[in-house]
Amino acid sequence: MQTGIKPLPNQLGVGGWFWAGNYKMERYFYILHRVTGIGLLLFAFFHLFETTVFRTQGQSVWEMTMRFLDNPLFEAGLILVSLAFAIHSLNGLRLIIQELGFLIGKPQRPVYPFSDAMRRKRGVTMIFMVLIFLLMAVFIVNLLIGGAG
Amino acid sequence: MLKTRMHLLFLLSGIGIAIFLGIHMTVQHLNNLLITGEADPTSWSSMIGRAARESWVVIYILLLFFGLYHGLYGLRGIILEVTRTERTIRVVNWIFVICGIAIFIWASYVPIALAYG
Repeated sequence: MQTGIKPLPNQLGVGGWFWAGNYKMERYFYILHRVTGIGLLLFAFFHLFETTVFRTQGQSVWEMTMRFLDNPLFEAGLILVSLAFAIHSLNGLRLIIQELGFLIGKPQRPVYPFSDAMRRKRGVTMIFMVLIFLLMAVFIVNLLIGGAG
Repeated sequence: MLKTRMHLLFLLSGIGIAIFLGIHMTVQHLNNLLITGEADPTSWSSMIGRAARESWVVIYILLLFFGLYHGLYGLRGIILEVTRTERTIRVVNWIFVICGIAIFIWASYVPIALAYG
């Protein structure tokens, strides 16, 4: 029988998400992924509450809720959520592709100077970065045209 | 094996969210840019119109399932990274399972009731 799992040694806790030494770009993507994930989950609970509890109360309550949410603060929040969705979904797709072993290439004999898998995938990472910024631009243009919707 | 399947479902649910949330965002939140978007997606008539269509009910429930599973499984992973005792793992697992099922039942009941009630 297993007798309890001890905490991992050298754990840095939440502080370690942001700084633990010589971070590479992918490490910052990891932090962004985690922060956007928590933000999206909080928003999802808020959105679920709004679209279930208030929706079942009838037209007047629904319209009152929509009027309450129709202000610059919530519109800015919605844009942040859209950006978080763009970052989290495209970075998540990159992680899935890498985890399943696509675009990594075949194993090679290590030759100095060593090039690890993360560096070899830099091209894929850059492509996803461009896609993230394009998707962000779409949401921002949509906002500039006429509100967050 | 169960952990592997749960993790695989986590990955698949991420793809599911990208598809169904993509549809939701395109129709309801990019309405200023795209001709596919509705003029006022948050109005009562527009919302009731969508609620009456079975395709939207299916999209909402699938999105709910994928979103809940992906979100709660991800949050569970973050929590278990910080505290890793056997008891904590068991308690966290049960809390997440019970909360997930309860939220899923409530949040899927609403669109079903609106569509067929």
